[in-house]
Amino acid sequence: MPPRKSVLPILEEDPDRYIESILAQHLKPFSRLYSELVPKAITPAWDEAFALEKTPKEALDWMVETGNKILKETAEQYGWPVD
Amino acid sequence: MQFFYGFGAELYNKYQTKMLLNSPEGVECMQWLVDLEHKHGWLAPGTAGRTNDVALRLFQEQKVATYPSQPYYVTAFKLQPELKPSFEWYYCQPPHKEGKEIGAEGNIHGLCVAKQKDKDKLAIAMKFRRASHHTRELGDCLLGAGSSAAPQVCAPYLGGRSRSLH
Repeated sequence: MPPRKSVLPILEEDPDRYIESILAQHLKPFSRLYSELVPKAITPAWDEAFALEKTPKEALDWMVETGNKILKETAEQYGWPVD
Repeated sequence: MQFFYGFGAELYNKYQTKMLLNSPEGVECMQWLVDLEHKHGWLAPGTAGRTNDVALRLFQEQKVATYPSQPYYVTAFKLQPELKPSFEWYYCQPPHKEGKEIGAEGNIHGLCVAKQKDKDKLAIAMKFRRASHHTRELGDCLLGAGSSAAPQVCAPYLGGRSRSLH
């Protein structure tokens, strides 16, 4: 995952908010990313390549294009660095 | 992903802000995987959508020759009383191209490989260089080419297709 802010100061200042920060910065974005990357980009590309509907290059090009859109959307939503 | 890493491909760039799997290395690995099923008939049909529980069951039933896994299963399989006494398998590193790092991801560190008694030969075969003839060599080793074990391992899942890899 991209580098993010440390949550340790929050733990010291406000232990209750620590859990919220962990969820917001790490678990929710991670879950969203992979819950979308796998079904929307990776699995379709694998299926089409093994079904010989696309060449491996066509399937991977599509997967990367689709996956990068998801990565960018997630990064913008959570303030991660974007290329 | 362990296969892709073994070909020198990467899923992301350094900071994981972009996917990179369509690199020449990634395309080469995907072609190799697709060829294993469609060209060489070495993978049981349905590779892309096969779930882990199904793969594990097929391996335990000796219907597929390999199962990507971790060393834990070395012990777990030996404690399975319902497995046939003839069920023999080994644990080995994932395949990789010469000069590339061996790929490992999550809890998938290597391959459980059935029906192979010559571990030295297997270790050599796993270090394939090019897909075509090394795939055949890999398949020969994994399936025990020349022995009666080969057709018994995968035949039920190949719909009568020839298992000859020679």
